[in-house]
Amino acid sequence: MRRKVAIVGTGHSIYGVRNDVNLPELAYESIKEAVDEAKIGLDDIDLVVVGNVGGWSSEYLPAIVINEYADLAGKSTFRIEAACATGSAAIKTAVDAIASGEADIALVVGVEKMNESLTPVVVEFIGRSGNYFWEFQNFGLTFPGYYALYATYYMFNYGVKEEDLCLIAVKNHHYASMNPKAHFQRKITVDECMKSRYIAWPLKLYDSCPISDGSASIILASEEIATKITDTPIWIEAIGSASDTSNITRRKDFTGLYAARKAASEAYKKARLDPGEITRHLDLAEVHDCFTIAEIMAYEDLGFAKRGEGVKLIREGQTYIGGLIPVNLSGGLKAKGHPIAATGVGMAVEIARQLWNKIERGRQAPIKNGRGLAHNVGGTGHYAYVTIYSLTKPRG
Amino acid sequence: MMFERSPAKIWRNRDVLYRLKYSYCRDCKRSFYPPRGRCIYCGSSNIEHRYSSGRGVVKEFTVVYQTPVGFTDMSPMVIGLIEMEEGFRLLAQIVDVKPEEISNGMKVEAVLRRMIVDGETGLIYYGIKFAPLIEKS
Ligand SMILES: [Zn+2]
Repeated sequence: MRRKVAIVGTGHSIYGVRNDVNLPELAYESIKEAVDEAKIGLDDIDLVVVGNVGGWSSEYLPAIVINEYADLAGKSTFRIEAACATGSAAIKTAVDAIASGEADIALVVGVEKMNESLTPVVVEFIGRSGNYFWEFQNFGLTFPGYYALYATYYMFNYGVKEEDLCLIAVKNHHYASMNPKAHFQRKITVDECMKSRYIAWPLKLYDSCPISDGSASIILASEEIATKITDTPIWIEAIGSASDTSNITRRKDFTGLYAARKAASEAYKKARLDPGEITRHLDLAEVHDCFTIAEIMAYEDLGFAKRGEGVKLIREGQTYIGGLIPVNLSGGLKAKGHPIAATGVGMAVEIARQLWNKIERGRQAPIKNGRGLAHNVGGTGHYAYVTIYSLTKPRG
Repeated sequence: MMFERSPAKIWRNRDVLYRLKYSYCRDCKRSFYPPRGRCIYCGSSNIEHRYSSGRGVVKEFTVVYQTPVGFTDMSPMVIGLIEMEEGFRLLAQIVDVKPEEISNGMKVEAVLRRMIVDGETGLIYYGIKFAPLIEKS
């Protein structure tokens, strides 16, 4: 018998170039906020799950270092990694531990400090998470290049234009400008985006997420404890997770990401939501827009639009507040930033605060269904997690 | 933190890197690259190693402007997803053609070219790239 699990506290550091702090200091910014919000003591925590990809920061073995700094020494702890989906993988690990009865209260912290390495190193490192072909030949394709292959497919087959991709960037910068925690605080225009330099054609600098430092934390608790701590726990209604071949040459086509579709379908089934009417169940979604094309593919993989029609949603403004479904009101990876392992946890924090109506003016979604969705992808669809968060306690 | 490109690793893979050695599964009749002892599709070990004709067609491509370390003087660099005559696909650089002249479906053939120069006094790595196919009459 699986126990129900809910979020009872959230914390979110400022994302950006954070040369002012080291890794544990950065992690602690969100840990402290989450622990304070949950109004629990550190002694109440049974388990600390640290999400961190590392490789580019000064701490290669981060869990114990963070625990030491946060005065959590003695707790059960470890580091989780699933490339850019690390945050969601860390959440799933903690949720499963509580659901199984192995823990009652868990802290999940996702933290990444990427700016301690030079950009080419970061690009090469992420590129490696893209393809096992590296073992054989470093032929020079970069991580943006993988997504560019999807973008060209959408351009040739579904009539997506570079201007359409820029519309995603414009929307996400618009909302980031109202989010004090976001890496970018400035609105942009389609014209500015179109004039930015190419990274991997057809993707330009303004189609790409920045290299960010940041941390995000949540406190998860079992039903018994969650309902004592707060009147409005955010329930983990369902988590769908999947993976795909890491060898892009083996992907059958470039219409969206198979792992994301599989994760979504699993999550909808577990939460008993109608996949054909999914937007009617949700108030908002945070999706993995590491590149603008990724957000358009997410619309389709999640069932917000039919295959090839995702671009219509952004052309019609349907993913702004007031449209069919608001997407990335935080600014998304594109403009809030993408500190790799913090991203999935940061999505949970954003959705919880949206459902609590605690978001800044101008980017608060109207909450009618009490439900939000997080879509977190690792690599180019090598990992995918779709998590449904709800104000209503799940049935069963 | 550059990723190691050791001469030993390249030597071990020389037939794969320079002659496009691939695997053909006698059970499910499918080909794949890079080669290995078990079929990536059906798991069979009834595998035959073959050498590719080097000819294929471009299925998808991108133009990489922000190139990785070691490739910086090659920017902009065209990378294509190429489907070989033998049925397997690989990603490789496309050369001897301007990006605007490339189209999906274009026929290409493998050529041996310089890949990376490891600094001023370092090793020079060669590898397979693809150039437009010149049909011999
Ligand atoms: Zn086979």
